Amino acid sequence: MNTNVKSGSLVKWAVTALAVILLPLVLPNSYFIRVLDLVGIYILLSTGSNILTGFAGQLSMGQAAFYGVGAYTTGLIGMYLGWGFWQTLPCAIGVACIFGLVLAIPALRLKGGYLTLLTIGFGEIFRLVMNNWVSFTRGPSGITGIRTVSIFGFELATKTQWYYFIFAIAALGLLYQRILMQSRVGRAFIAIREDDQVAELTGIDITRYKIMAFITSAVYSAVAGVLYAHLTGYISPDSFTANESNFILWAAIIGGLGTYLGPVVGGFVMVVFPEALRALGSLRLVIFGVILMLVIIYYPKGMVPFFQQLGNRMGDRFHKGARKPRKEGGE
Amino acid sequence: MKKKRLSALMLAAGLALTACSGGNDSAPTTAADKAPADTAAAGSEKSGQGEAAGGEAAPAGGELVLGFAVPLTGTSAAGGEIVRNGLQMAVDEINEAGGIDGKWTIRLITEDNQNDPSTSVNVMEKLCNQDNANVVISSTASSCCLADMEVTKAAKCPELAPASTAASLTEQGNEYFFRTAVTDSSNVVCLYDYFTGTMKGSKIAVLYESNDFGNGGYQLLQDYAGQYNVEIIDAQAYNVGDVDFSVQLTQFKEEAPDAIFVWGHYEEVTIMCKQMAQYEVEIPVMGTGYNSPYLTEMGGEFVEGIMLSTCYTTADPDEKVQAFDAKYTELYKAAYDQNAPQAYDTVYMIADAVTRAQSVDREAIQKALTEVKDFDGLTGVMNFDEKNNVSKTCKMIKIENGQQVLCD
Amino acid sequence: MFIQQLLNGLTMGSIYALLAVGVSMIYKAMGMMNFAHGDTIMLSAFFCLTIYSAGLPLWAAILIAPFISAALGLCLERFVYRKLEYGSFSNLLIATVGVSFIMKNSAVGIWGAQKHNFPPLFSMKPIHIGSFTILPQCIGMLAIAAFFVGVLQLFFYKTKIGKCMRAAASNAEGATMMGINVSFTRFLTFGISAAFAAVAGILMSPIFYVSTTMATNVATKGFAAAILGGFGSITGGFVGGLILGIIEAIGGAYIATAYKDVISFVVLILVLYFCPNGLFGKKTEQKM
Repeated sequence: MNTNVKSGSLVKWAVTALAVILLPLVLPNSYFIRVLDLVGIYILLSTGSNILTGFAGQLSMGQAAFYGVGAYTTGLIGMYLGWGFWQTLPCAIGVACIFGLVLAIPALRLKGGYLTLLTIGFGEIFRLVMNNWVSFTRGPSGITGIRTVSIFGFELATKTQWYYFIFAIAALGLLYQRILMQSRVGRAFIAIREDDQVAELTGIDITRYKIMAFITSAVYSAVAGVLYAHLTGYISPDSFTANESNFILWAAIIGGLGTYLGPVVGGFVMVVFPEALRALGSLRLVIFGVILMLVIIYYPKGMVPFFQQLGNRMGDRFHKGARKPRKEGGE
Repeated sequence: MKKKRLSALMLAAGLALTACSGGNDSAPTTAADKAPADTAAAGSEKSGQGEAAGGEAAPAGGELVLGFAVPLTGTSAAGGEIVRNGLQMAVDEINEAGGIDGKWTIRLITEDNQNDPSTSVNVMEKLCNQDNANVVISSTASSCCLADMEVTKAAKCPELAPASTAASLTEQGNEYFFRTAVTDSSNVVCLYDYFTGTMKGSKIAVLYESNDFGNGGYQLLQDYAGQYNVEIIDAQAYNVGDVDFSVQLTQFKEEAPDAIFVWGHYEEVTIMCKQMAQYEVEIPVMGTGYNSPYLTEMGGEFVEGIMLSTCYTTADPDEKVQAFDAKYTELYKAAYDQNAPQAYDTVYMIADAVTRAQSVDREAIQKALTEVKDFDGLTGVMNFDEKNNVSKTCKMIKIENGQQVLCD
Repeated sequence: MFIQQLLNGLTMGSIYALLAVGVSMIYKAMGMMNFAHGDTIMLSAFFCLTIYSAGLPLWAAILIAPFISAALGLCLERFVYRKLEYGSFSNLLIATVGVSFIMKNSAVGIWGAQKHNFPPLFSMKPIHIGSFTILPQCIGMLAIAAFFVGVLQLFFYKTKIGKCMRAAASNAEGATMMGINVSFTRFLTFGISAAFAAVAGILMSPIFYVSTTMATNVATKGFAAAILGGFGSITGGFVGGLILGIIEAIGGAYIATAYKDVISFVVLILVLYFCPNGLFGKKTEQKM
């Protein structure tokens, strides 16, 4: 029975992987693929938010700053040093660690509204400095001409190639999230989320784990930022606003905070819906907002737990129907 | 269990995207539209686009798809609306007259880019590759233009910017990008000419928006200062949406420059002028960006005497200008700024290019646009320079009794 | 110069103070961050302007707008936030972000993105004290803000219903056991906060003009002011607002005006680092 389930799950994973691989081939043009590329980037962003807010319980509304850290590290290094993706990626991760630490230190003692405001302030400071430090960052004009990624001499030219690259990284990100959250670190995060005083009493070094949560989250967002910068070829402070931070948190919540696949659903909803609703014209963002509100009100735990229930129910029915003939055949 | 959910999800993804494409295809499409879509699906995007445009350029005439990316929500939606009205007016006029050269009717597809660079790229991808636009007109914010021009360049689709003044846009070496908005250097020249010539001034203080528009303007003011022997004694930036300029103004009051040069929009400028009156700062104000009827509507008595440089003013007795003004006011019952006539001119410029090229092929239009010669529009006589910047001459105007009058 | 800049800061300070009081009230009563407060301000300004444009006198519009705004707040509480059962902090927060998103985009649909003029409420003539200039609107706004804060303070400390609301805010379970209808006090708090938003909206209108983005920038500052004063305290929020306004004006004058927002957020972070409960906040248990 056990092996049956395992092979069954393997089949499902294979089907999913195949679907992800085949998806760009059935789409009519690069517009759809560009949207999917952004979905991939959003999966990484909301995974970062999910780890910090969903698992470790530290609410952050400044995720766009980490996103921007990744993008700006790429842009600035490219502009001043001319380095490519494989050199900037580790730099961006390093810078993100520093920024994560910088935010984590004042955040350690804060909760609730105080923490929220701290993260908002952090995000705004980042954006305003990038906007006003013209001599260093070119300010509001942004940084143009960021080169695309080359892998062993092969340059990513089309949106479809980018799609595979981004989704491979997003899949790695999701896998690492799962491994991390099932380890001791993940259990510590959850303990801190549930009650940090109790966690401390049971001997968990909450300072260390909180810092770790902030840094992990910062790295996820920064990697997304690096990808965004290389994909679009241009960055400006306009892309890293408080509104962007709201959307990232929103994606994590819509998908389901503290679930492994929540970021996938959330990323998909937040990127695809506004595009898919374009036919509605000027009402589109209002309707998009209403849809999100309905989800929050009726599925407060997010879409993934809802799909899970739905899947279980359908699965039960499927198994009930399927099991009987199999038994008969066995006899 | 989880995998099943995921596959269901991917299915939903496919469905949503198909639904999305279905929605857009509901607009009339030709067989030529469909064919390149399949080619693109096979993986060769770029060649697909060339064929797309080529396929539509049937000599029997047909349709020119004009894509338009504009902020209709978000912080600069008001500006977007004005550009859209200007475009719509020209498109309707041309279609009522039987289309461009009697052969091509224009189909305008407007998409909201929320004034966000990333969404702007999505919109441009949609217009170029999904809607197969022959020409696109792009939004107002320069950050959006800089982000989306990569898409039009790859699709070899001419992109015209009737409202973006930032110098950086045409510094990218993108031959498919054309600026039909007046450049800021024309404004600087006009302002300095008047300031040093008629006003005989030499010291200025600058107050500019801390965005691409304002920073670019300030940079140009510095660049041209030496040439005109103008000394910039102080420069202060402000953020869009600021409502308190007391700090900057009280500083200027002490420094007493000959004029305050403002690079900003009417929203902030009217507030600035009110506060200047309150803090009794009696220094002439001149600049650009705030040419809007709302300037007088909101500023009232406080904007009396304020000067600005612009390529379009209703004070111009020119017949075309007066006719446009009357028609716009009748149609939209709202005020507008120079971007409406600039957008209007842009559509006619495209029509002119198509007529000369006798084709709606993207590259043919691009080529015809580079060959524009002395195009006479509402906003002046236009030619493109080697960077695809349009040349227009600006006029100095002044607010007198709530009306725009030409400065002598 | 220094004193002049200090006086300059008071106008923005009074606005921040009004906002801070509105959001503090909600935070204290429900433990939620109301990110739609700024948009309630924007909508009330539009309500007031629409009534005024319909031909009613200005004073009537000013009197009616807070009631419409309060009704809006009550509806939101009843049909949105109450449905979330005041459970998860992050869900409540994102719900207010959602409400804000819907309000803003609906407002663009209804009134357009254009800025609208609003008649001045105070004399435009500046007052001179020695070599300093102070604007009547600054004094007026400060006075009105102080007056309403005083009224609220009296309401919460002297009236029975106000005392019930305070009890319900500090300990919902205990208050329920004492027979206080917590659900109702929350409902009422939301209404009062929304009416307060209308007061702020009307006072802001002549300075900011009425537009869909009029309160976007200041809303975050309102929160910052509330935090400076120690979230949940009405007088703290008021003083926090004034301090923030002054910091901005002085920081803008002596460092750079483009960085004045950066300065206020840096001050906020420093305050949070050194006194995590705000400048005047008592050490209380925080809701999560």
